Amino acid sequence: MTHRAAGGRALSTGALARVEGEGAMRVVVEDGKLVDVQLNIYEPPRFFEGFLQGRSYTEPPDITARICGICPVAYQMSACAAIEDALDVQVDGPLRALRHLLYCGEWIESHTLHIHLLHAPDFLGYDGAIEMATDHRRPVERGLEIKKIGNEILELLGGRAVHPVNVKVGGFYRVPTKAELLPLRSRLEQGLQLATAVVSWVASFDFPDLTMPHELVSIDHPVEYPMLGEWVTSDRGLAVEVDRFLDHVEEFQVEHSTALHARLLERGDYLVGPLARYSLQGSKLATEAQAAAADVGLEADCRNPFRSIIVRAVEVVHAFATAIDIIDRYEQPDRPAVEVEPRKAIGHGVTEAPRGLLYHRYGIDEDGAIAAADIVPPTSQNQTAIEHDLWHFVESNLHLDDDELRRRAEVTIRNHDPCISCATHFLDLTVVRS
Amino acid sequence: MTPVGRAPIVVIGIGNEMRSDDGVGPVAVERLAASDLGDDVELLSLDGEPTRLIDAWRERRFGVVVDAIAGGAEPGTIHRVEVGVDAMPGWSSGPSSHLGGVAEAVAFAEVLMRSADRLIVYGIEPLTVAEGIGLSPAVAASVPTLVARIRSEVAAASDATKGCPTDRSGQCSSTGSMASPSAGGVMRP
Repeated sequence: MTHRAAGGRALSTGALARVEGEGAMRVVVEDGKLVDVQLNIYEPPRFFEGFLQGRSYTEPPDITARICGICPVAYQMSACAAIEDALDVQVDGPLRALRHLLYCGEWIESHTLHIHLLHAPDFLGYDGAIEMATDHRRPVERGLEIKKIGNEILELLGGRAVHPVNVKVGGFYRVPTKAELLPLRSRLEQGLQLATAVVSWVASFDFPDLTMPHELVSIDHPVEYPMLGEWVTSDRGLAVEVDRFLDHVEEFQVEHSTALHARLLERGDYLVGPLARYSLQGSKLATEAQAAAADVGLEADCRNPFRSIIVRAVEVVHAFATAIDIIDRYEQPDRPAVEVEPRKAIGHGVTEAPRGLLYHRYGIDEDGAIAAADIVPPTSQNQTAIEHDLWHFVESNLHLDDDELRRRAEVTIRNHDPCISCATHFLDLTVVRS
Repeated sequence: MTPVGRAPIVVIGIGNEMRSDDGVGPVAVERLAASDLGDDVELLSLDGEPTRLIDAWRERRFGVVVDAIAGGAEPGTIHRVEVGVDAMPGWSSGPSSHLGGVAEAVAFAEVLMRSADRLIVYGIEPLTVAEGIGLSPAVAASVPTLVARIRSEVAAASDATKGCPTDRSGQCSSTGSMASPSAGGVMRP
């Protein structure tokens, strides 16, 4: 919808599709010069950190899982990591491996949803997945099958596909037998083949030539491509253990958003997510994923947000290969969880959600009640970088008409698979030209 | 066609019980679970994510979907739409998802030819989908009527399924006997 205003023009759209949540984008152009770009998030604040105060230390995995229907495992994993850090509990061996396997399921599901139904239509010239599926039914069918296999991991280990109920502080309520995992293994082999074909499919798309200069931040694990870990690293020298993370990150409020923004102290905006993980940790990818990336010529240092679709596809291959390896090595533990005793302490946890690094911190009282909670989700951390991408894109493309400018700006946002629901929830776009 | 081992009939409640009236779908499924609907009926509560929805109703003989849907009528109003028979209204489904709501899932399933043989959507007008547990009085008052309607439709479909001719794989080879027990449209509880 375009409105003509005295002295200039203002363009606004309905909701921007194919992102999770409710928000808007505002672009202001004066005398042909871009003067402001804002990613407005007007989703009402959700106060999860407030809800958690006074609840038992056992509850954050289940409560925070409700923050997001797409990445509940990420919330459970970061919550467990932080609480277990506070209570000095080590969850390792097969219990850690099962958590890793569960996380693989979520990466597969979340990335495959974004690749096939949210992002691919941008490259193939469709308004949405339904329109695209009419002409590209086979790749869409393949995507749905891959996603379903990811779902099967969540159902088996999590008890159900949405908001899993089997995760607890210290481990799980119930762990599977080796025999229960074996039928899943054959499905994962099938998924690995399908996922490898997806890498070739998305690499065949046309990508704009673009390099963005954000500092890249991810978890750093000595040997694993990171999902779980304790250290945070960047391409510009940041290397801190999780308990020092907030010493280097400043969360700040902006008037146009109900979600906190974040920046690295004295350094500025930064980017978490697939591009950061791949560029920093790509040498730790499973062999199959490294081979898939090499086969399509994916550069080792990928800073083109549009090419994040290839990186996500490579990460899906990695998740399948990793899941198979975990099952092959699995030996059922003698108990489903380690004992946990509450004490007064503060704990920090960080894991890699599909969209990027997710940090939790909890203060726990002597009786096990949550005294304080702090959650820094990936989309909050990426908001400033997304605005930066938008600024760069709009400034370089002011010659485009409003409809095309809007369409391509939406793609610029979707490159980062933002989850506004996590950050606080749809984007309207307003362009003001005067 | 229904694969071996999968119930031919499914009732799917969509929604989030922590979002007030958005939980009416799961509440309806919970009430239905309290009565014996038979081995050929599966009850599911889902979040409404379209790919999971499509997977839940594909290859079923008969599916019922229950969702809180804002169509502009009075809170508690029960809408009934039979896919392929009634026009799918431009409803807005409660809290957001990446791909939209049940209407988008229906459209997507049709493109992919993954719909149930017969699919009914019950939409209940919410008063509120704000964060909070429990249905509003208006929506709670419509639940008994809603559940009775679904139970009646499921019973008719179950009878039709059991009575239908089977092919060599033991599956029903015709949907012709599964007539709708009720007309589409809008009801007040």
